[in-house]
Amino acid sequence: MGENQSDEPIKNTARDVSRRKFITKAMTGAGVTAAAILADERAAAADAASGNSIKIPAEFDEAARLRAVKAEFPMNGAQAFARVCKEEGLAALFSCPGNYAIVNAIAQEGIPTYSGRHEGAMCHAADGFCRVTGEIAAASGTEGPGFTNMINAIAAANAARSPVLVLASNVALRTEDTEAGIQLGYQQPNTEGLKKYGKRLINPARVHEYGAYAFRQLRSGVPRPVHLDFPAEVSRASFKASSDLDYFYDKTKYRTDARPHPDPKALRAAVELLKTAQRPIIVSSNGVFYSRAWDALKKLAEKGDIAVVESGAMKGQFSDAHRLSANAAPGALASADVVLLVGQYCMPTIGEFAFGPDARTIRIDPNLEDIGRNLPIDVGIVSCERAALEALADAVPTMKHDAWIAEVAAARKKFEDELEVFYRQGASYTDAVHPAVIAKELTDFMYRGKLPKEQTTFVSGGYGIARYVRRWLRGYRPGQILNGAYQYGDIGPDLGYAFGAAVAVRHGVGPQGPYQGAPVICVTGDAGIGYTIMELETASKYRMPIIVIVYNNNAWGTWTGNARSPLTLSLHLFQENLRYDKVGEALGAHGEYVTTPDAFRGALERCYQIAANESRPSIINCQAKKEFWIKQRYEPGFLGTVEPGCMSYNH
Amino acid sequence: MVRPRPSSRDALSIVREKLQAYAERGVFQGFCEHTTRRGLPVFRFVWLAGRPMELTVDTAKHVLRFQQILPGVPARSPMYAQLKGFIADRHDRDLPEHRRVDRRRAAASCTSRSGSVSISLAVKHNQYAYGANRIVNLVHELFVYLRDTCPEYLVENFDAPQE
Repeated sequence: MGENQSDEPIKNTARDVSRRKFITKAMTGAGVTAAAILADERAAAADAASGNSIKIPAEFDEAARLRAVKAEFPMNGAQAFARVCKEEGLAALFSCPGNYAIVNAIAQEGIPTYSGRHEGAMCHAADGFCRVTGEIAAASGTEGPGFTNMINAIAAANAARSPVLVLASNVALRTEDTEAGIQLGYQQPNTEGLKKYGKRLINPARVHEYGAYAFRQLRSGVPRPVHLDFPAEVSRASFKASSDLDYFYDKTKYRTDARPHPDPKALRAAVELLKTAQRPIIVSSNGVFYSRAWDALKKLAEKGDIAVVESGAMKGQFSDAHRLSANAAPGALASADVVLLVGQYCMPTIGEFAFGPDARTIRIDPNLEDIGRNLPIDVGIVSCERAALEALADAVPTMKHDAWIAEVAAARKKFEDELEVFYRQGASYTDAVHPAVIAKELTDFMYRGKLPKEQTTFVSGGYGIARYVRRWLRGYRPGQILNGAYQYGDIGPDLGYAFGAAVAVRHGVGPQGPYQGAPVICVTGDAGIGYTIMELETASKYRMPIIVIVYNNNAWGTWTGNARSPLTLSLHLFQENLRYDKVGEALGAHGEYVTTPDAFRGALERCYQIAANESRPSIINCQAKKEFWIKQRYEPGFLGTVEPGCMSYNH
Repeated sequence: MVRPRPSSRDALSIVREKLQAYAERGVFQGFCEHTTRRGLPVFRFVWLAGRPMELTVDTAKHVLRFQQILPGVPARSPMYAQLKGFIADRHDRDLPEHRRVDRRRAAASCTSRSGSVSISLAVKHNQYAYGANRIVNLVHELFVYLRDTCPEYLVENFDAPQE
């Protein structure tokens, strides 16, 4: 189903994705070692001997050849709902089998639909899709367990303020409270506190109305998940004509594209405060991305000569290549005297952002009730972020803050110099792969090699490894960086996020348009990959060009807190030297096992060749060791964070 | 020009006024004032990491001090040496003026007693307004520094989240 609408249809029937063919093509890439060739030949021989190579079923190609059919009356409840989804621009659906009537109807409308191995991972995929496109994506699971498998991902999407539409079947109203059959339950309470809006639909004639209301919730104010349940009486209801449905209007009759604009008085107060500032800074967060306000942001920053730093669930709305970017200048943040927070939905408490106690604060947020939460404000502006930034850009005079921007530049250089020290320290440890080596060489590859630095969409995940990689990551265009399990901090969503991001890039949705089809890179940890590694099979069957880099230090990130507790330390450890690369190979992906720092770059290049030339996933298992977190033995040890900016993750 | 010397009451008022302003802006919570057993004025408030902090004002010695602000840092520990370096660096001429503690106007230092670190600022020439502003900013920067370089310390001693 997922390939129905793809601009890159699958070309071959019953394709053979055995390791033999895989590696033969990959060998055209640079840096293949003799040892790797020998290992691959052994694997190919094993494939040939068994006669059972991994194949994608012919049904995938058959589905790709079929055209979407728009439902017309007479239609059922699922089709009526799917019509709303199509009209409202639902951009993708991620599912596992179940909730068939709804899933099939949405797929029939031509909305890209994908099926994975676990509902939770697919819900993470929907979240990931939202966070790199700004569009709405849906996740679906069957009633009962399929739905509850999504709970963690819904919670993560809620914390990240993602407009994920959660859909679940709900058996049938007629079986209410009977425990007839299986999987019965009232599902809405399970998402209490994890959603913006939820509804178990009980009146079939109002399915269109509630569908429309769900999209109004998703598209207005601060986005968060919306959860709808579909009992069989609703999804299978039959409607002969539109008159059978209540409130069956065109969307121009049930909603508006108008957005709240800033109050002129508040705007004037903000301009006056900015005019008095010597060291102003803008914090650009989720709201700038979802309101597509990056052009207005740039205009305001350049006209006012105002530094810009990012935070939030995604990054890249303001290019790190810009002279005003303070993303990688943590040392300058405490100097700011006026801070303009825009679309900072997840607010830090006092002291969590590095701005000093004398800094004055302006906050732009679409929700009146949220202004002033956690951080005291000097000026509050209730508005759509784009409308407010456009108005401010028009209202502020042209200003210059040369000394301040020079201070930001100096702080940026100091930070980059520190990263170089970390890299040299990491590269000096030759018996395992240090995280600084991964971070430096990966970002050299993405930003300073043959690839355009704007090209690669990146999923930044993991725990300890993320504290390194984030310091090196840079965003050069909107939707380029997906900031892991932002704020909620769950373990293991990264491969799900990467799948959603890869679908977005494949279809060229929103800001991913210019990079359609490009490989996506994801970094995660060995604890995290254990949760979702089966989705490598999903990526493989859909031929998604995802490169997953696993930082394998044989331990949960929590082990350091138990380092002095011999009784409990083992609770935080795995078996050492586990071969996640081989698991990946068994699922149809390409695998690399990297045990020394000098081997990482070659493995990355081989995987990129495979992704770019064959549109297939890879997994690079980087063998590290847990002791890298001990500063006294392996400087720089476990790293902290300074927010906002490239390191920010909590807010 | 000779600056007029404020009386001890004036000095305390100046510090109180500066701190009260932070409280009125919502930076400090639960701001209140009392005296120590030795009769020194103490300002108490909740600020960073959600913990109560105490700032004593010794106008006789011209010293402002955040008392026992960091627990669990023995005097002979590498972390204490690191902290001393950080405090000393606040006087660095390479720092922008708005971030620096000007040696001509104040001197910052830290001490560790019974494993708890206190941060002090000796005010020179009765520049209490400057001193109050600098020590508050210095402590803010100290916590930013700890978040950057000592995350596990904050997890163990301030209930900071591990991630």
